This record gives sequence, structure tokens and C-alpha cells, in this order.
Amino acid sequence: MLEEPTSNEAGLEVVAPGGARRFVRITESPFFIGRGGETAKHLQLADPRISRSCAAILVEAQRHVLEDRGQRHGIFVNGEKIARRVLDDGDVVTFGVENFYELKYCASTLDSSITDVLSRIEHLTTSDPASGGGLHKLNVLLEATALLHSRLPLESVLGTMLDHAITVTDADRGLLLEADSAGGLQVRLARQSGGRHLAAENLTPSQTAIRMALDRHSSVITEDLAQAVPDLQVAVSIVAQRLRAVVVIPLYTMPQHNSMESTSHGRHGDFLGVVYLDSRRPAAFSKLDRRILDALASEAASILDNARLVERERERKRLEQELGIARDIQQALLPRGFRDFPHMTVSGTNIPCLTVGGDYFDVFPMDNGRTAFLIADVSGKGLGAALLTTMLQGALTGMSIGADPARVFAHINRFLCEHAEVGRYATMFFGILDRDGSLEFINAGHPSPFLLCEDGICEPFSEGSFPVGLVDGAEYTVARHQLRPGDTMILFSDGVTEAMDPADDMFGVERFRDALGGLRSAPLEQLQRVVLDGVQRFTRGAAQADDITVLLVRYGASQAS
Amino acid sequence: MALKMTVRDEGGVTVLALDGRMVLGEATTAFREKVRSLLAEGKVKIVLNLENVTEIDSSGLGAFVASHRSAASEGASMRLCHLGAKFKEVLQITKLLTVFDVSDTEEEAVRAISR
Repeated sequence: MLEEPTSNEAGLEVVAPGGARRFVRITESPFFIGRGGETAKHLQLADPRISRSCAAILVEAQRHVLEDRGQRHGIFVNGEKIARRVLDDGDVVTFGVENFYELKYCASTLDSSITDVLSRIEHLTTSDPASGGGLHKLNVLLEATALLHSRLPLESVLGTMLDHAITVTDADRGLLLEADSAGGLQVRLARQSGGRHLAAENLTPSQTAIRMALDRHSSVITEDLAQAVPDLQVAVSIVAQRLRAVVVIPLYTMPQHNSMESTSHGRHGDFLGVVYLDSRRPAAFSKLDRRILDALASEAASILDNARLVERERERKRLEQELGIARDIQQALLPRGFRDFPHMTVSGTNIPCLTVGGDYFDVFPMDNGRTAFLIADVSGKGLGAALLTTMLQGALTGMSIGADPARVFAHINRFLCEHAEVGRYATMFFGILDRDGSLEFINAGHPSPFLLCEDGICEPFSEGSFPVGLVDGAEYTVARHQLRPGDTMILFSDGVTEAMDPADDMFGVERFRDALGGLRSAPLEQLQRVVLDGVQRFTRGAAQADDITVLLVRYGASQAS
Repeated sequence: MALKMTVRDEGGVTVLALDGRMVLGEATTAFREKVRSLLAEGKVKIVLNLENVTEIDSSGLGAFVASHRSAASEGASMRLCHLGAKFKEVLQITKLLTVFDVSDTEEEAVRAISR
């Protein structure tokens, strides 16, 4: 097997039985894990219960695959025994023995400098359990990370925070519950002492204790409960947990200085969630200094808050990326480089007002030397409208294989009325120009294109029907017009005529006509420039409110036009 | 919200007056919901008064058509009044002027729908 360096910056978080952690990057494929010698050259776990050749991680199709290479007690991923398994971010690998190493797969590692800092912080925390200093440093690190937009594994950070809370209070187990948008609490993370993973189902938090902590806006321990609820039988869940001791720490954001809400909540901000800790020893928390709980509350809240900010930022970036892909797809739909057809020249441009838009145009050859061209404007804007443009383009290709335009439009109309969201439709102008200048066209609810001819500028293409996707059973008819050599058609979407200036005045049809005056013979690129500049000058910097599309078609009997 | 709606009863005819911008978003959703609930209450004569509508975008037009369709399928009649020059032009270009029942003023609309 060839050994090659992996380009993927993934790694393993190695958690030792005592709780100590380190990051190990998966630097090569195959990456060997074992007890000693060659088969442990990348990660050595020195323990007799590990087989000499234990496991290996390989790169396959850009993913990491874990293989059992002879571990006596089996290799487990998230508790399930495996022979071979593709690893996902967050997967936990164990070796079939109790109190042993645990490996957590991270699909991307931190910068090595951040990794080092994290391990140093870990050392600080475990060596000085009463101090909130280590946690504070972790918090500062998280803020810096958010600023750097680096790929920090959030679950690791939150896990470290919870582990710290468990250590400081000498608890057995801990839960991090996060407030959800519906006003409930969801379990985000569960840990047990020693920095170990815990299956969340093993711990049912006491609702009584949580409610009390939220009512008081402050930490609650078992003794508080006992005082408040003299008959312990009533606190059913505590009995069910066999009288475990409990600490509940509610987490709030820092209150905004000028906010009205801060007066009703006292000195608290928004509710973030709860750190919930328990212990088998009934008096485990009775000697806890309240100040420690308060320090935990404020640091943990800050970490959780920052973690949520980082998450939101990442989600925003992901969406931005997806939109970018959609934009590339949409741009690819448009005709690239207008080849000259024998009897016409064409120029066009499309400027969506968001990343993707609801306008599109197309030009394609038909049979018998005829050429088709069209402009379409889907209602609305953004992704919803953009998706329809791709649907339309697909449906209209039926035209180039000889289908009758009126029937294709009727078909599209039926399809949209049935399948698109109610109220989603498109206006379209579709034309077929023959070599002799005869034009057949269908106007589906679209503003008539301008015609620049010897006699001036007119709008002779109003005859038509409904938009597609609006009226069930609509029928579409083909109308006709004769073009003369040199005649230029200007198709546009209403983003042009309805472009608004800062005073909310519209560009309008009149200004559009005026801008085109005397330009019948100008090169198409110049005409196009004049239109776009005209709109831009008029709107004087006001934000673009709708997609703008222009398509120019000039009929010329000779190449010279 | 961009759009305010008031419902009045004029001698057995339900007048839904719209105030604001009939545009993509909350406004179009709220409008369609309102019409749906009026139809569910059994109203069969609905007049839409657009006098105070400042803007109608393509989604607004779609909402009007969709509501018109809902009304028709429930056997109810719907009439628009006080359209404004711009919206009338849009209805002309999209050939939808033939689809809607239109009157100039609210009084005329109420009279026409009651016949």
C-alpha cells in the first residue's frame, strides 16, 4: 500500500483514561494505530489490552475510513462494532475495553498553534480546579477564534467547558441543556467525570430542580430543593434518580446596558440554557462555595453564547456558499458569447438584484434556418424565482425539436399551475425570426418589446395572452410581424422600466424611449450600454429593487449590420 | 407590517380595505390568509378596496389572482375597486383585466356585486 500524505487536515482527539487529551493529526494514509512497532508508528497506545496491530485509518474518495486490523476486543464507532467504517466528524472510537483510550474524529483540525494552546489550557484547568482562570482563558480563545473565522470544533470546546464544571464541583456527570426557539430545553451535550462521553439518555434531569433555578435566576443545589419541598416524595425525579445530589446552573447572556428587559429580569440578559450536574454522593455539593457556582455560571454562559455566534456565522457562510453555487448554475444557463446567426445579431445582459434572480433570456437555433429568442421574468426574486427559470429553460427546449410553440406554452402553463407554489408565475416574450424577416411571437403577459425601425420607436408586440402559471387552462396564440433589414427589437424585463430613483420615481417607458432615440443603427453593444447607463444614472445610487434584463435582436439580411 | 387590512360590512357585502404595500413577504401571506378565512366564514360577496395600496409587486399580483381563484372555487364573487393607474396598466399588459371584475369606486363595486 502506497503511503501518501493526506491533504485533508483531519485529526483525532485522543482522550486518555485519566482525562488528559491531545490532538493528533492524521498525517499519512494509511495511519497506523497500535501497541508498538511499525503498526503503531502514527499513534501508539501503550497498553497490553491493545493488540500490536490494532487499527488503521485510510483515505478513500476524500474521506477517512477506519479499519480493524486485529484488535482482540474489537473496534467500536459510537458504540457499534465495526470492521470498516467511513468516519464522520464527531465519531467516537473505542476499543472494546473498559477505562481505556477514546478517540474522537475531527474532520478538520485547528491550527497547530491553537491546538497547543488548548492542551496547555487543559493542563492549567486540571492542575488548579478551584480557579475559573482556565475557563476564562478558554473563553478568550473562543472569542478570538470567532474573529478569525477558523474551523474550531465547537462540540470540543463545549465539552471542555462541561468537563471543567464537573471537575470543579466534583460531580459524577453533567449535561449542557440549550434553550431552543420554542421556549424548551434541548440536551446539547452529556459528559461524565474523567472527560468521558456520556449517552444523554442515561441521565434524566430533575425538572423540579431546573424550574427552581430558572425561577430564581440563580444556581440551585439539592439542599435548596429539600428546603423548598419538605416532602421529598413530591420531587419525583429526584427519588427516581435514587437521591442523587444535584446542581443546576442557569446561564444568561450579559444584559444590554440600555435594554428595557434588563429591568424585568433583574441583572440578567437572555436565557441561554442550563448546566446540570449530579453525583451519587448525597451530600456532594453541600460544601460548594456559591462564588464558584457564580463564576461557572458567568464563564459558561459566555462560552455558550460565543459558541452560538460562531455557529450562526458558519451557517451564514454555508448558505452564502450554496447561493454562490446557484448563481454559477444560473449564469451557465445564459447564452455565452453571442454567435452571429446568418440573419441576425444579438446582445443581452442579465443583472439579478440578489445573488440569483428570476429573469432569464435565451437564443437558440430552430429548424429551417429560423432562430428563436426569448425573455422570461418570474414573479418574486431570489432563490424561489431562480429555480423556476431553470424549469422554464428545460421545458422550452421542447421547441427546438419541432414542437408547436403555442402547445409548449400551454403545457408549461399547466405544469406551473399544478406544480409551482400558488401565485408563482412568469411573464415571457418568445419570438422566432425567419431569414426573410418574418417574425412569429407569443407574448405571455410581458411588456411589448420596443422596435427601432426607420419610422422611429414603437411597441407593436402587445397582442398576447396571460403569463404562464397564473390562469388555469390559458390558451396561447402565435402572432406575426414583418421585420425589415436593420430593424432592432429591444426586449426587457420590468426591472428596467420600474427602476426607481431615491425619490421613488420610476424610470418608465417614456424615459426608456427617449434614451433610445436616434440609435437605430448604432452597434448593439452601444445600444445596450446606453440602456444600462440610462437606468443607472436615473436611479442615482438607489438600491436595485428587481432583476434587470435586456436582450437586443437586430434583423439584418447581410452580415454588415 | 407593510400591509394593514380592515374588514367592513356594507349591506351584506364584505369590503376588505387594504392599506400599504402588497409585496413579497408577510403582506402577501397575510392577505391570502385573510381571504381564506373570510371565505371559510361563508362570505360570498367580497370587494377589495385598493385605494390606499401604494405598491403592488409581481408577488402581489400573484396573490390577487390566487385569491380570485379561491373565491371562484368557493362559489363566491370578488370585485376590485380603486385600482390606480399603475396597477391597471400591469393588468392590461398581463391580460388579466379580463379575469378580474373591476369597478372604479367602492360604491359602484358594492352595487355591482349585489346585483
